[in-house]
Amino acid sequence: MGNSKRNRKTKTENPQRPVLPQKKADTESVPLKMTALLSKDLDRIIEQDRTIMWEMGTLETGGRFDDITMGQILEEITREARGLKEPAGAPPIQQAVKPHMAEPALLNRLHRIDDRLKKLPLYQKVLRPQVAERLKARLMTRHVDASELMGYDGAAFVSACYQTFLGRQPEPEAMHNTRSLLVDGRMRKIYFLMQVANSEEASQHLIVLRGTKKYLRRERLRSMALHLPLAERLARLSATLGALGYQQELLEAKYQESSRGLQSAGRRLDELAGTVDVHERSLDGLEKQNDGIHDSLAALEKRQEETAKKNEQLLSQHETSLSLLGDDVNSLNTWQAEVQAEGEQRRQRLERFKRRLDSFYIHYEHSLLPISEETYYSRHAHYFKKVDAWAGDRDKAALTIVDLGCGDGMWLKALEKRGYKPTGVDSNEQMLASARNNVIEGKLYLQDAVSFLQEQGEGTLDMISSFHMIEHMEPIELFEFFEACERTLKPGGLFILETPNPKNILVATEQFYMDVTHKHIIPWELLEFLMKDFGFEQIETVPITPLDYFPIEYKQNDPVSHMAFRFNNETAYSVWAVKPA
Amino acid sequence: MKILLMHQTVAKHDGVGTDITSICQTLEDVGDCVVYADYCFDDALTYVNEDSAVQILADPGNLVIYHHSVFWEKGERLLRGAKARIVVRYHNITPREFFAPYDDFAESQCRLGREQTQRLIQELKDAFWLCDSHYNSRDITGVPRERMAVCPPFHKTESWAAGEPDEGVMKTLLFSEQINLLFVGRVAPNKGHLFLLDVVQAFRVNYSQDIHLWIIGKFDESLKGYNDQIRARIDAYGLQNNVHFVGELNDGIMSAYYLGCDFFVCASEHEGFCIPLAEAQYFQLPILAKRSSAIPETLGPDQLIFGDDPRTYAAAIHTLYGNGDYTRWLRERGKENYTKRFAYGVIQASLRDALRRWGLI
Repeated sequence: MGNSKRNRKTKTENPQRPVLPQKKADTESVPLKMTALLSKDLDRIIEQDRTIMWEMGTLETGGRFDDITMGQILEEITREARGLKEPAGAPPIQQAVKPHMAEPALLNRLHRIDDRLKKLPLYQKVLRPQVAERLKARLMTRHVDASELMGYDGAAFVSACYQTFLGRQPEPEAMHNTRSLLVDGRMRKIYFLMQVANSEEASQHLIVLRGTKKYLRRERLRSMALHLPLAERLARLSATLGALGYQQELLEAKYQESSRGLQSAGRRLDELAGTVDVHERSLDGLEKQNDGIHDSLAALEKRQEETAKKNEQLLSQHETSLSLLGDDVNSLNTWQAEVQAEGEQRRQRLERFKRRLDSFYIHYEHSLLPISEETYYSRHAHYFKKVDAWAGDRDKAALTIVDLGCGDGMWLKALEKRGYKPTGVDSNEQMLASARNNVIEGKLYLQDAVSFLQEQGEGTLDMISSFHMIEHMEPIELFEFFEACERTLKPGGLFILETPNPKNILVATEQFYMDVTHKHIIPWELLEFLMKDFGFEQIETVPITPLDYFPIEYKQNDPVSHMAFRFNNETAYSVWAVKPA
Repeated sequence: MKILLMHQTVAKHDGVGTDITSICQTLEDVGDCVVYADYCFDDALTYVNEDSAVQILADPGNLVIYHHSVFWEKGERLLRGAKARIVVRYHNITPREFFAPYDDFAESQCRLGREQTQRLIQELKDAFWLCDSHYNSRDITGVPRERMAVCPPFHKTESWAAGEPDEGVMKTLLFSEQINLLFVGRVAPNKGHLFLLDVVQAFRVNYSQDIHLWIIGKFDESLKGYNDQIRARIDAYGLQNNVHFVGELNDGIMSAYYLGCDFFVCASEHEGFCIPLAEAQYFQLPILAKRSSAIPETLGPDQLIFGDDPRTYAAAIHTLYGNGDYTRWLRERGKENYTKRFAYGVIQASLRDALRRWGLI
């Protein structure tokens, strides 16, 4: 254990020892240093000290401080002590005259009896307090013999009387008044002593004054003697000398007090001078700070002006930008209006075209591609057999069958006749109107095929058919169509697609282009591969509607026959497939 | 074997009380330690009543350690009839002259106590005397040297010093710019308080006002005269802001004062051992002490001991405060002295050696 302050002002620094706080010399920095010190971890200080102390706490001093001896220390202290001033101003130890116990032998005897009896509960609780109360006054009373006090003189006498009977020193005024009375003989010591001993304040201390008779007798003799002229003169002379002596004593005391006061004032002046220095330094510091503040203020004002100018410039630029922005906005609005107008025009054009196309198409179908109902059924007779074979024993009416691009509804009508309840979808409004004449129970939707399928739930359709629709699609629409069909068909669902046959030269080079809405002719192999690629199985391709362009008797290995066949073969084909279970 | 320890009053935080407790702990493997006292304030000990004490005293196989530091008539009476082996643990009794000017009762107790010492020497011929110091042993005249031994009084400095010092006191002392002097001892006429005030004033007059004296010790209201003298001197010197009497005390506050002060000053005019000096050496507080009674013996070699001139003490404070090497040197010597002579284990060994040499254990 140790004290960090003990390591201050080391003459020889040991670099291995931690450096502890040094005694400050600069009073100005006290608050900052105090804060820094106070913020220091006290535990760390104690721990540092403990480390130092226990390092030093070995019995082996290891040769440290070999050059220091007790004699050296004592010599330095003795040299330092020479010339030091003594501590002045200590009051003389004015002891009271010790009062004596009234009856010490009785007291001791009573103590012994009490010691033996206090084991008894009855004595301890009942009798002891009563006995103590009764004997208290007698036993507590002490006495003082007058001779012990009459031996004092002057201030010592007054002080001893007060201390003995009142337990305190006299007030300065009381001391002065009493001394005055005593020195000029207006009061005699024995009378003063008796006055103090018999005072009301003294009665509380239970001290009795004895041995006054002989002094009172002396006083009576003295007053008788004073009637003699010589004795009276001597008494007056003595009183005068006493008074002079007392006056001198008072003057000396005042002189001492003045000297002490002057010394104290001198020290105080020094302290004040030091304080003034400190304040002057503080004032200098404050003035410097003030100057600094003025400079800072001027710099701030200058910055403020520059900032204001910059703000004006920025505001002006901003207004210009806003104006330009406004022009841009106007331009954009104009452009947007133009684009919207253009878009509207285009939409109207497309609508007009669609309406015209729809009516054109239906006229085209009826004019260039007429087909009777019997012919249709005859051509598609094997289709119905295949459908029936697929349906098996199932309730035909319960099967969800959708024909996409149903046209005038001939396929739908045929299926209805066979007991199915198909649904038809076509985007041509006039075709659909025509289909309503053919379809009795099935629903018809004016919608494109893909959007219709996207509205159906997954695996909800038993059969999808689409005749001569897929050649109207761009590749992206075709792929979307295949995806939608695969999603919506139930496992085991039937998928039928019919499209123009490019193997027929006339179809591929002429007839396909009769329909202005045809986009791409799709070879068999491509369509079969699409079916397979989209996960369909049991793929079967069925040609339909031979052309018989020119009659020929086919011969084997006959190029002409082969060529004729390319003109005479089927104009369309269908691919049948099933979604795997 | 039963070991009976006797004293009029057994209290905690009291020199004799601590000695009794530690002796019990040291001898617990030797026999059953019990205590007989008129006034018991330490709950950690096992007390017996007078009848049991008499029974123990009647058995020659038992051991009695009678602590003699005050006049105790009953204790003397019990010892007279004892057949058990007796060791008188003599802690010294203050000479009556110190209390004579202030209190009749205190003076009479001192006188009776010293007279009792002589009676015990004469009447207990077979007793052994275990004194706190060689200085104390000089009072025991007429006892053969082989029946006397010196064993320092037990103290529990190492125990209570291991606790946390009071942070508030530490900060006040460590972060102040003043010199802090410490004295530990009750306010009694033999403790030299008035001289300490002279030392403080001598320093103020010659060097600086920034010196403070911290006095840890209780006032005794029966010594009103002495208390008044102290106050009068403080007033006369103007030391109201320089002298502080520490009231509330616990282990942490005590540690903090020993750790935070710069010097320990002691101007006692009579001490049988002076435990605070050993405490100061444990805490490595440099000590300035007055040459009297057992103080030089307790301090050991290479420690500063002065006479009656307060200026010398003031010069010592000034010199040492400005020279860290000197203070370190003094602290090391003090630490050596404590470690060699007053460490708890050393005192235990000393006690057991003495009792073993006498054939009592």
